[in-house]
Amino acid sequence: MSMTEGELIAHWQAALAEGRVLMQYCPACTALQFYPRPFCARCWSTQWQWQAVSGAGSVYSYTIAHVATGPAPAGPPPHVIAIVELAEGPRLTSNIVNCDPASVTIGMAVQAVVRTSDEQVPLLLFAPAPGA
Amino acid sequence: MPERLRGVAAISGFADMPASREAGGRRPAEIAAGVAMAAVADAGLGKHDIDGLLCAPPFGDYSILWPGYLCEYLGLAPAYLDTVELGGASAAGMIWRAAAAISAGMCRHVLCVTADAVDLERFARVVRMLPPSDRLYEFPYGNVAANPGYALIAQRHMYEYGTTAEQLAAVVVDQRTSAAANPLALYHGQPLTADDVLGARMILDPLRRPEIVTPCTHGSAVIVSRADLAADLPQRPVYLLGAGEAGAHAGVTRAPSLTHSWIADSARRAWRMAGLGPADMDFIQPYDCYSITVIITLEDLGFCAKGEGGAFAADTGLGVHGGLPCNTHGGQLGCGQAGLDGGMTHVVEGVRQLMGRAGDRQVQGAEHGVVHGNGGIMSEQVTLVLGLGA
Repeated sequence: MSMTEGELIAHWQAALAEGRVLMQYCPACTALQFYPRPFCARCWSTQWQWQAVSGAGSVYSYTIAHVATGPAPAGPPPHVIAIVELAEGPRLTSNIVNCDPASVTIGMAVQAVVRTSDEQVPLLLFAPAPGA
Repeated sequence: MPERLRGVAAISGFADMPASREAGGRRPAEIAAGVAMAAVADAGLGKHDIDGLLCAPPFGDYSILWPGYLCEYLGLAPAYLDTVELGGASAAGMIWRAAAAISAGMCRHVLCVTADAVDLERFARVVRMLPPSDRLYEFPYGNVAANPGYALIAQRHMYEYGTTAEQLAAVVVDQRTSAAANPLALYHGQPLTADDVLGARMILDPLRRPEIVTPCTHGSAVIVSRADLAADLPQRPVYLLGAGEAGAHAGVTRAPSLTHSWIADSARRAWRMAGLGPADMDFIQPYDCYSITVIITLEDLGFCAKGEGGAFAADTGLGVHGGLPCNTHGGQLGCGQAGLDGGMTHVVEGVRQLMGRAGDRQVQGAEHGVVHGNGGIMSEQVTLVLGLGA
């Protein structure tokens, strides 16, 4: 599939706005990639495909921001900035919402939640998984 | 092949200056000029001897064409000129590049100079200069600039290895003690105790304010000279014995591990070129944007096993008279960080120690030392092995 970077980002964000989290899958080397690029960063193949992931993941690391560093989709400090490792493998940066920041732990099960920023851009956030 | 650069060049002079919280009306180019001229004089050279220039752009007055501008400003016309922009690893990266240019016969004496000045809009300007991946996938979630990334690294290191807040604080205490005795340091006369650090304001859990660098106005420079020419100059030559470089990400979320860094690769390459190892080092001057950076650097340079950096920092003693003198000038945590000049202070201190010019903080009999530069969020790494004997 051949898409420019701008098209990739637009496609990814449009899917997110519909509640779908997409990653790029490379059949040539089986890599599952985020963030979107016009090629597979592991093997440089351009024969990648979009693949929807479950939205389930766990907290790989986190920090509780006591001082605002910039945008705060999770609300004013203290809020949680985290690296989430998706069940399917890729890691991404996000915020953990819908919980007390002090309750966040590494390894905690989380589930994707989509919100819209002030600039009308869809954001991929995570909340404690049901039953977590 | 990896030994080809070993001993080809030596640092023949350096210049330093007091760090300050304010710019005082000074701009980066004039600060750079001051330390450049002082370094040239320190090396016993004249303006006409400088035929190479390496520099790093200031955040406070950023522009393209910085090498050309500095040459125009200083009245230089070198045969080799470039910007080295590897974040905090820029200065360390300059040293081996200068040696390589000298080895290639392009030049004989390379001025390596960095400087920056504090200004209120600098943070916003730097943030705009971060890579596209940051703007799209990090900023919207509050992962802006370096603080959150290093807090994420520290949290994971504590989780994987049990590193404690007390161990992180030990790095700060030792370096602030060293800085307190350094008249040029931002925190001259201001040591901290462990209680001071542990009781300080939490910024991004687990990092507290004293574990994070303070921006300042400062500049520093060194002269890298062809080894045979350095032998005839007034200062004791400090030879570049080994250099290694590594890097593979900008944003730390794309690093395969938060706790195992590319320093293991840059260090392996540097040790191999030098034919030396951690046990041969009399001191270490590692880039210290944060407390956790020093701990991971100690591990990945090979001074202790992976995961034991915290215990090593707390038990070995990182002060000037400790088990492993570390950032004997106080590092950036004690001296402040003037943009990309921050990494030059570790080069200067390593040179100062090996030249025997460290005064009250001299590591007695120092013959070899390692200087390490780290850029971004543990993104870009340069390890240098310096010594007196080639």
